[in-house]
Amino acid sequence: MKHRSSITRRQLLGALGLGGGALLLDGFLGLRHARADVTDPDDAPLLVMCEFTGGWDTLYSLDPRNHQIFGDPAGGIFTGFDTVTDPITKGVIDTTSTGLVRPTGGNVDFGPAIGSLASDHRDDLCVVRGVNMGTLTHEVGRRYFLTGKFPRGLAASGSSLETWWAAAGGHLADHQIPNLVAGGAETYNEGLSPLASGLQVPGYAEMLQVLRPLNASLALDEKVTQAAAKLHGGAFCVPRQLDANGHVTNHVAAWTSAQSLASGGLWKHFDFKPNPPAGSQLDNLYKAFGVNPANPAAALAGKPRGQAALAAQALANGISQVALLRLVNVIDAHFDDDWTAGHPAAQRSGFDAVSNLITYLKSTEDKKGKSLWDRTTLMCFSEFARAPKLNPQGGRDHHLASACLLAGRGIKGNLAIGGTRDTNYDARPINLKTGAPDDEMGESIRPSDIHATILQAAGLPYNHISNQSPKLIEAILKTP
Amino acid sequence: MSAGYLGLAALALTLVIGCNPSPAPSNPSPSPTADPPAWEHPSVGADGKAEAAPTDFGGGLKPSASRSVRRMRIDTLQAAMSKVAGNDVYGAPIEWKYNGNNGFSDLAFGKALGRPDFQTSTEESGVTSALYMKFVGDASRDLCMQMAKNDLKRTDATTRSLFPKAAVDGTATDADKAANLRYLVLRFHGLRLDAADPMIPALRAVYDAGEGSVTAPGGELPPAAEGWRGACVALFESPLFHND
Repeated sequence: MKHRSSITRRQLLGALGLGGGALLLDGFLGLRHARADVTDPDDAPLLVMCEFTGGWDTLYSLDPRNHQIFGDPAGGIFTGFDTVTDPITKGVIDTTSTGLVRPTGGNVDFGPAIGSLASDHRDDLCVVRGVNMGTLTHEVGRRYFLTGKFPRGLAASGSSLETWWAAAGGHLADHQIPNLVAGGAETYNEGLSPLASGLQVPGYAEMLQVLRPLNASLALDEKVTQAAAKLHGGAFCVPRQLDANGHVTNHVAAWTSAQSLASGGLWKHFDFKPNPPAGSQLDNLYKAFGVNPANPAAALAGKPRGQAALAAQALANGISQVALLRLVNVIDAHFDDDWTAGHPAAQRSGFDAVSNLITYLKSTEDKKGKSLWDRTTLMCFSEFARAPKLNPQGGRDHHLASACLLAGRGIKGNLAIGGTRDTNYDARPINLKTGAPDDEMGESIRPSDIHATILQAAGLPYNHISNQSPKLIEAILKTP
Repeated sequence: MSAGYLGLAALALTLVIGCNPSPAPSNPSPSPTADPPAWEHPSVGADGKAEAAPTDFGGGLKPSASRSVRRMRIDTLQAAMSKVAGNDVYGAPIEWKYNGNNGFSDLAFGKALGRPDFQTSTEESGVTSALYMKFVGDASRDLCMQMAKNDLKRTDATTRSLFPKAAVDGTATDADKAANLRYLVLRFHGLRLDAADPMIPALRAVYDAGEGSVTAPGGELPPAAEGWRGACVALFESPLFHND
């Protein structure tokens, strides 16, 4: 390298930048003081986020209408249920004649594509209707719901919820993969510990490949790895010059994580092999997910149930604290064949997988003998909803007023709050204390409010949601 | 110790250990036998030239346009690793293979690594993740083994890609090994290091650990070649290889 006799201004600024990065990574700027006062890893709040990507039609599931009343194509809202061709959804519509599904003893009407979720877990589900997404652009809506902050153009603003959850939970060191992200979901880390960053895997098959060397015969001696660690972590000039925005620091942290992951036996938890021993954890998983043990791949490979099973194993074995799943692509249904057949089938497969996941978490105990579900928060979302009227192609275009599904720790169940207008499906303001629509004095509900509320319910801070004025929806909190 | 004190200690340490090597000759005289002069990677966004802002914006010096360093894309990674690995003894490019496919292709781990398919994804991460590094490790170990095995077949040392400056039959001197280490840093990272650069002993430690790990004859590689394979993997996995 070229030699210099003294520290230049640029070197000084570079050193300051690296020092500042060290402060940031240590949580000095904001995270440490926001961290929840949770000390026992077995009490760590768990989170599962399920993304239904593509923009879901809430008339099919979370914010339906009675087909007998809204079956006129000229009306402000047209269910279009007469045109549905997906056989199972059509069967529900034919059986009910309204398209509405209300489980016995339930207070909430669901749509015909809700699957088994409504009947299996009625008392746990909280539907938030009339969520104003403020955008009709896929990327913007998706990133808005991921971070709780409206994006800067298309770019996400701030960290995604699951990253914040893992960082603020204070248990990064207690989980080998604190933040598991599957199915191609996007994850963001803005200024939080690199350990909180999501480990992105397409599915459980790739998880196996991540957690063990592809070719064990090529492994290097442990002492080589140790010497390499010193090389990568060394305070040499060039790496420090290139450590803008913590790039090199993050690289070394990722390298260290990769070494740790690939050398352990974690992969065994994700080896969904046929015919596991009766009573084993895998056997219980297959039962909860309705998997034929003779051929588990048929039910899990590339399916929403496979993503949910991946999250289930990561949470149940203490490997992860949070899981973000792109559970299903519900198809951006602008055209008739997509909307009438593929879209409702995809939604149902996603909700069925959520149902399986809840069943498994309820039946699985942690070290203290408590159900894992008692510690878990669940959020299902999409980037926006679909329009209340069919377009000329027989599909539905994008719509601002969406809905989301919440359940779990600190969240009231068997409840629907908020709503959309019967005239045009617009979002209605709500009374935050009662959850009832209040067109005069109510507040508009946005993703930032959802984030703040479930964080509050789990005992975690939400002061990272800056510039959004997040509001707590007290109506859904068990202990406001 | 509180977070604040720890952070300040890190800051102070960073300042103390700033880049401060010995002075370079002000006018080095080129010599046909000497190594080319050491080269320093430019600082990010620093071209050393200050540009004047338009007067209607207030004039004065404005900072040069720059962007943050980011991780290279998968296409770039695939090309870069293949380029560094070179060719086998038959002239075919050395590639990371998995089940008969290029490991970086979408038929292998391209999608897992995050290469967009422009159907369900259109963007690629610019940040290194554990998943990315895990597969880079797999690729590195595979490529470096191929490089070492091909070099062992080459009788003309100058045609070798992994250890052209140090024999692997036990006759290489410390100077030979140091020269080969500097050659490898230049080949992998494009950095022409000074002989006294502190990275060299750190990389030498990797080599020594690899060489020392072969305790019995009959393995796939002789001890020295295993040492160079270890250094090769470390250089592929280094943050300096992945900057864009």
